[in-house]
Amino acid sequence: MANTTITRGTSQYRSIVTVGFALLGLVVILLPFVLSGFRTFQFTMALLWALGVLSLNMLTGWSGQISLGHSALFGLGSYTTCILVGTYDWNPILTIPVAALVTFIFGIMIGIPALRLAGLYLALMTLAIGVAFTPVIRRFKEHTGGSMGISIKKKVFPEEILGLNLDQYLYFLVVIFAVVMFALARNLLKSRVGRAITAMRDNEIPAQTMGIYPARYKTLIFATSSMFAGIAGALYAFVIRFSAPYSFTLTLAIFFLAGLVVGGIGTLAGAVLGGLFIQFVPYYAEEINQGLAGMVFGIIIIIIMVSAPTGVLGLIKKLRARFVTVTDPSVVRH
Amino acid sequence: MTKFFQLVIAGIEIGSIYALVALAIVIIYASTGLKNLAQGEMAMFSAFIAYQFHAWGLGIWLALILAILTTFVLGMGVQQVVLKPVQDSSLLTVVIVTLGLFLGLNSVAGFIWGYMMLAFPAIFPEGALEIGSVDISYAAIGVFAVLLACAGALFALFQFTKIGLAMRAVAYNKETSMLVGVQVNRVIMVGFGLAASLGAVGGIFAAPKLFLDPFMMLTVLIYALASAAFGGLDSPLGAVIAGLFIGIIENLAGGYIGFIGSDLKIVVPLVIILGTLLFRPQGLLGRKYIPRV
Repeated sequence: MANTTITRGTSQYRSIVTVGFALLGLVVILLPFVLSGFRTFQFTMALLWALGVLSLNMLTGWSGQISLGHSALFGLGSYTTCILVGTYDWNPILTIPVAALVTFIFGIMIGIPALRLAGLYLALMTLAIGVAFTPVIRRFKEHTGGSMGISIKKKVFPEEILGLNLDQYLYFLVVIFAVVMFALARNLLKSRVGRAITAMRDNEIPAQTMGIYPARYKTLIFATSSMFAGIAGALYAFVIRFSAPYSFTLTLAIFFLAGLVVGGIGTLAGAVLGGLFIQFVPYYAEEINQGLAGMVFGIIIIIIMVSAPTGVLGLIKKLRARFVTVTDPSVVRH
Repeated sequence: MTKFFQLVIAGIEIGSIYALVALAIVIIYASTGLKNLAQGEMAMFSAFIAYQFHAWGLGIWLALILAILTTFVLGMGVQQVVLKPVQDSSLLTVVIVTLGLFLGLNSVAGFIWGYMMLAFPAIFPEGALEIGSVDISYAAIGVFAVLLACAGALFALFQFTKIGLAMRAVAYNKETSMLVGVQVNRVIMVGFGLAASLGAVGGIFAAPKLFLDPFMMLTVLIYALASAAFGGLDSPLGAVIAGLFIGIIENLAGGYIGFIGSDLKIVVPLVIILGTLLFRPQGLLGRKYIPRV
């Protein structure tokens, strides 16, 4: 089949993109009305995982720093919301900025020692954080409810808002946040900061000679990445209304990393794919056998890293490239 | 005073396990530069294999030895199938692959043996040696003895055998070893199998104490990684010393510092990892790595 060329910036390109997004938007908006409450809930969860993967992508995909501790940051956001709403009766929406701030600060605290570490050592440190989260939460049981966890009574959320039931309006809440956060992420990537960070990832020393201060940007991206994870965690608390130490273990951190890899490291749309993967693969695999989910994950991760390191999105792009070439307009002025 | 000695003995007992797994990590790192985050899960898997052999009627020591040999072969297989294809890829790729292995092993163990805790038969006789008011359990003596035996055997392997020499050569400089005629791929494969077996010893001897389930080695892995980092990622002796040290410190901290208690003990290796990496990244006995532009 012939290979057609589309140039960015032309009206042809713009109309294709607009139609594409319109269709996507239509699917997203109609989803909770077409599917059952449970399925809507599953998609909401998938979006939350996608946000978690997005946060990890900023750190690992853009800046090349490995983190095995993002489950802890996610959990921190969730616990912040649960404690504020469950124990102190805050309005849930107000807890989101607090969760964002708390995780941002934690991100800075982790990011600063992380400057001295690279590669394996960073993975080790974040691994330790990811594993230590569970026992530390248990230890401070007066505040966190210990092993029993802490829950938000359902009545905090009204049964219905504007004719939408609980599953539906939570879905839309998460969708709105997801759209905003993905847009922010995209803008960050394309901004000066984003370019500085990817420059550092590709080759730090030349980047330094060009005037980029690694310390500043690395810490910033760590903090931002943590903040995104924290916000996702806070939203998770809205949906699940329960936080327990065993919800945020190393397995979750590995799942995030797996979602990142499968979706496509460094891509934004890949994060959504990763989120869907994290939500639905274990769900179906568990029906067969409890251990199967991890096995499938593990095998898929290995296969992808060995054969298709750019992830599913990379494969899709390659497939698309067979039929369509997207180019930038030439700068030649006539 | 009794409490102090009791804690030290408990520390040596668990520290020996950390040391064994740390040794496995160090050997792989020194010979291949690979940081194997799945080491703990491989050890766990071996413990399950030993359990299975025993459940099929073999005596515990025979089951142990068979499990270790099986692990050796499986380790070589894993290296060939999973790790060799990515061994020259970026660090991120390798870490992710080892994590995939981690997940996969954990799940396969859960798939085959379930997630309920199983009781692993005692390897050493019950009872303890009593010196004054301090009880030194036979299990503690046994595990420590096993550690010393393994460390000694490893030393003998490296110093006196041809394969040991080849492994040291590959660890020192892969390319030059190839030039001199060392079968680098084979050496790496054997090295991995050897490391897996060491980890297996650690896992098997940890099982009676920690109870057997797929997550048994999760915290041990952290301690072992801390030991490996603290001792020096390319120093086997460092790994052993650090493992024992961390085991002792962990128990003393848990016993004497009330704030830590038994829940926060894991903070100890975290602090040690952080401290090591920030102040002396090459660990106690490792070689300093100076990146060149």
